[in-house]
Amino acid sequence: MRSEALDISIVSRGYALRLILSGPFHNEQVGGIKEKIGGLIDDGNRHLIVDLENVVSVGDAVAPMFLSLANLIKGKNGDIKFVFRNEAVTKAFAPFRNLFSVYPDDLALSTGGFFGVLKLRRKLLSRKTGVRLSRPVALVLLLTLAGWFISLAFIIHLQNLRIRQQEREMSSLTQWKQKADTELQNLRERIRPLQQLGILKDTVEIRGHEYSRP
Amino acid sequence: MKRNAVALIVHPYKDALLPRAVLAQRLNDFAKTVVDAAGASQNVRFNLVMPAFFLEILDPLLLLQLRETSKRDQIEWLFTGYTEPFISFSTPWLLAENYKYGMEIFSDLTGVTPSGAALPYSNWEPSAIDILRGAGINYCVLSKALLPPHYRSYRGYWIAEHMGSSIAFFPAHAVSGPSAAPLLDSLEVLFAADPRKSPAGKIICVDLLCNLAQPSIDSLQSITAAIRALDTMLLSYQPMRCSEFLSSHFNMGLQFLPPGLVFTRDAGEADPLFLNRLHAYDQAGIIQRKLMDIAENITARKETKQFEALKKTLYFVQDINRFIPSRSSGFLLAADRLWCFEKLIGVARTLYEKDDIKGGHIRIVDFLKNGTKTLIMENNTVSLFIDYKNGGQLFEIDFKSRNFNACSALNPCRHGLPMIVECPHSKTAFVDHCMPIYSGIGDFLKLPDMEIGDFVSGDFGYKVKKTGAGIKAVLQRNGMLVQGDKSCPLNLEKVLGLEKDAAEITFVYQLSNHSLTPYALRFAVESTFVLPGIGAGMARITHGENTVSDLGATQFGLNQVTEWTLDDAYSGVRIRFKVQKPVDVWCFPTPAAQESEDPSQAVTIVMNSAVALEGSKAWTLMGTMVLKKLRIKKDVVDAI
Repeated sequence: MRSEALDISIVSRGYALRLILSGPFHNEQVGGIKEKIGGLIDDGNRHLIVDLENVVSVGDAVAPMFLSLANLIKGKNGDIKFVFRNEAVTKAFAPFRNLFSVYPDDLALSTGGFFGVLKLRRKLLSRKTGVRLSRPVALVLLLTLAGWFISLAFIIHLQNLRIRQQEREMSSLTQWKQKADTELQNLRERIRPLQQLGILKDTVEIRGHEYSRP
Repeated sequence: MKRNAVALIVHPYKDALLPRAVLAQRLNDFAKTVVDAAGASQNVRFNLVMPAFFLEILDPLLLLQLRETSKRDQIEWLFTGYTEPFISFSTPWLLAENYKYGMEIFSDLTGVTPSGAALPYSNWEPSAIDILRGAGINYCVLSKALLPPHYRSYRGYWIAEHMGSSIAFFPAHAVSGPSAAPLLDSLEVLFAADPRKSPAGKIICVDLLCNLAQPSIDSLQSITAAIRALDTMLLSYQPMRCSEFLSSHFNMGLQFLPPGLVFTRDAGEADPLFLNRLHAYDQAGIIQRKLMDIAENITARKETKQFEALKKTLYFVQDINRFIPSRSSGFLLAADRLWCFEKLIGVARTLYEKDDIKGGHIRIVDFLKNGTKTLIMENNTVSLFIDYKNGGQLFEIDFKSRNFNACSALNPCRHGLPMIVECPHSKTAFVDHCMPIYSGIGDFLKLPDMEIGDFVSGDFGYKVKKTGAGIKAVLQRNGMLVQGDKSCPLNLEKVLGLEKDAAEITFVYQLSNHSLTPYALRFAVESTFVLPGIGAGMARITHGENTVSDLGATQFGLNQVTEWTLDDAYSGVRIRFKVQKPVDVWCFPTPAAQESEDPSQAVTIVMNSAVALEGSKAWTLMGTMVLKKLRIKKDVVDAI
């Protein structure tokens, strides 16, 4: 039956609900699929991923149907993403290409937050380099690296403390010097009248033999 | 004058499930007989057929002796695959993998690769020629019953052709045990019956069958006797290996063979419409569809090397003996059927776990391959298969913790039409009946005459729901109900759900009367569960303090209950029902299948309630069906 040609698989992946459609997607199925996906949105699913990679042919009413669903879910603060790169679906979605979030494959679509990205990255690097680390080895490497970073941070912290202490000492010495200068100036001011009267000799000048005045 | 040739094909097979130790013993006895007979008649060359897994079980010393016999060019190895795959019931991928793996095992253990194949039950599919050739098979041995009658008297080999691919095949006289001797005595007559007058060499293939599942001294003695008889006829006939004849003689021409199967291996006639026959049974088609579904699942995965162990399990379920209805083996026997489901559910469960799915999975796929969709809802512990076009019934309930399909009971009769599930005759679950309100337990047996609704095999609409709490299928039908002599509208909504990853099936029924006329009816939900412990007295139904153990013989009713439990200690499964309103429960022993001597080992539970429905009102029934593990007591049926 043309109205039942499409196979559907619904599964949760992380925070999103993933719909995998496969087979021919005729126009006769548009109403039924729209109702089903609409029902899932009504159930509180706000993040949908629709995998159309295995859809072999697409009717012309399919892309507008997804457009209306995208509109519906955006109105509910959700999003709908598409995964495909086959020719039939790409051609059908071409007029609305910039309105949909389309990803070529699962790798491009990271759905698992930080750990998801990490997982994808791991797979990518593993494929590129051909290196695979077992969990115990990865754990040992992780602990070694973490220990190294912690030691480094501890040394930096100690040096930082020492610099702060030296800064504090320097600051106190500078303040003491300023204070002593001020007091010396006061004393000079106080004995200046006596010097002017000649009662006191200018000790500074006497001492000037020892210390050359500037 | 050139002597005519005789190709003796010694062909052991195992059609029933056997413990590994028993099979090993019988195989060793067989191999010893063959080695001794070959040693005593060293001028007789013959052919030896085996599925490759036999070689893994065979005593290495006997295997070594067989290898030595092979090195002397006295025997030629033929194989059937790793097991004996049912070609017509297999996906091409799985068939090719079976042959490929079988070849590898043969090559490792015998040091040679078999050049020919003896197809089990002479199951021939023209479209499989490419797969056979791709596996390195140069010729096949088939029963002569597959040939048109006027070609059966020709003594030679033919070329089977289909869509540009071709393969040689030898028509064989399949004989078992003592019937070999009369055949060998009548060789002269058989050669004389060949209408060809040319001096071209002729050959008669004698496929000597030896059933290891039902061994007899006669069958082993007949092997020795046949080899000795050929030894005495050396001056008249030349015992040959098939490939020798193939390389030194021309074929008799092209022969189109339609798909066929010989239901009894040594029968004289083939059945070209065997698929119709098989699809008139309930469970054969479901096992096959499940096998295909899992095979497709594995094929769709990229790294198939991870799944070698799973594929090996599939090869055993793919074995033709699981699908041929017989008294000693096949799906008509509950043990055989449950063994297949156990293996398949185990593989499906492993695949599901690899996918790391949380909170359930809904699939809407053409599982039955009949053009309509099946709703498959599964979580870590349960799988439900809903045929929404056929009354919204559940034709399979897999309890994964025990690899047990609770809905694998057989319909007592074959279907009128070749369809896999035929409502209401198939013994499935959650089949909805409407009966007159006064109906009692005896009236249920009068169905369908007592049926006043049209929900039993009606077409339901469906919606699927997936929330944090689980997955649900909402089935709805605007049907009709006969009240008096009028047909009145009645709406039935049935919700079946799975709670997260628990083995708990929730069900909600709602009957809505949208008219102003009050309705009165008895609403009954029929479910049949297979309980293999019935025969051994290990199954029972419990309600409160009451326990009924004699489920296979008596029909009885429980009045106004809200909880009842079905226990089967044999398979280690408990099914507990709980409903929110009191209902009556009728329990019937399910009749055994007419074509089997196996008792039915199933019980039909009918949950029913009188419903008085005022105009514009609704009636609701909610409940749960919980599956639990019990301590298992069954024996190991087949250790392979």
